[in-house]
Amino acid sequence: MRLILPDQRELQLEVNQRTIEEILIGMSIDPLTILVSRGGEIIPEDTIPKEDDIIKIIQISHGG
Amino acid sequence: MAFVEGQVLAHLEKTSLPPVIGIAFSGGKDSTALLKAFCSIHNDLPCSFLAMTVDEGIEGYRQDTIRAAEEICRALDVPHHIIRFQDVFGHSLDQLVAGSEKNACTICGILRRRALEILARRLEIRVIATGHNQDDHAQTAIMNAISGDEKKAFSGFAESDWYARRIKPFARVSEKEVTLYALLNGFFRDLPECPYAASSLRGEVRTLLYRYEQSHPGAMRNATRCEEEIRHRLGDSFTRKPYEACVSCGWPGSGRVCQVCKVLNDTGTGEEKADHT
Repeated sequence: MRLILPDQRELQLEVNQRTIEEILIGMSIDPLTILVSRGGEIIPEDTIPKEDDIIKIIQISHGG
Repeated sequence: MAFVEGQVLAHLEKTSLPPVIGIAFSGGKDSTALLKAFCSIHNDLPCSFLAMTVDEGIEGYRQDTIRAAEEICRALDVPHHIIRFQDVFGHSLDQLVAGSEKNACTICGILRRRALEILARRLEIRVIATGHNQDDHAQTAIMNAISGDEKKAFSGFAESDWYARRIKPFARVSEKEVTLYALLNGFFRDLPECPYAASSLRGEVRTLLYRYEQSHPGAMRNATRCEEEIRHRLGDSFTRKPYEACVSCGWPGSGRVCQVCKVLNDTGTGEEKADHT
């Protein structure tokens, strides 16, 4: 799975049957502070992505 | 989307509204989502609305959000009015912060409220809707508790002939739901966060609450509702000190000198171009 972070860094990760939420928590990214997109669509964090998915993390900015 | 719009409508139906209300509109995701929700349900509303923006003059941040605000109001065909710190107080927030030991958010919060009130008076707006969401309310509830000042739980909820009444239609909508609503409606922009936000108490409390919410889902909603319930049950019995007219600017406040004048005196400006007539 290719993971695109809010700062545009890209990581190649193995899914190993983990949900996106589990992957994010493992990376110390709080799921409450982000939205997850795949193919231009918002998907729930309890999705288990495919190994060839491209997942984009959208940061929720605060204040306004 | 229906959930968010339904929440806004349900909130508005619980309160009496004048013919025109103001929407405090920063151009950020919350106020943008609120403006879009109002536009979507406008046929069900007993009032019309306009957008009110405060330009604090924060370098590297506010220009982008003001530009976004102007574009959005044009796209949604909503009347838009902007008031600037520079015009009201003679200085931008950056200049005021540089001359003060006070936290930037403290200065900004006090002066922004005054600027919004001045704009409301000019436009004869008596009710202002803000985009504060459930997460904001939870953070405020915790910050109020940490301060140890019980009056803060009742702050801003007193009836006043002078100040415009605030309504918060997103009180039951989480920040994530608001963001999702903005995104799905094509109004989400990757705007920068306020450069002063990171160093604020609110930022610390936000981080704390997010960590707690992970382990205890519903914590933020519960914190919000707990404070609401306290206000509801104790509001009538809580003795509020009557407002006093500030000896410097004449605006009603909680002391001989209002918070705005205290902040401006602290920053060494001590001037105010507020039009309070």
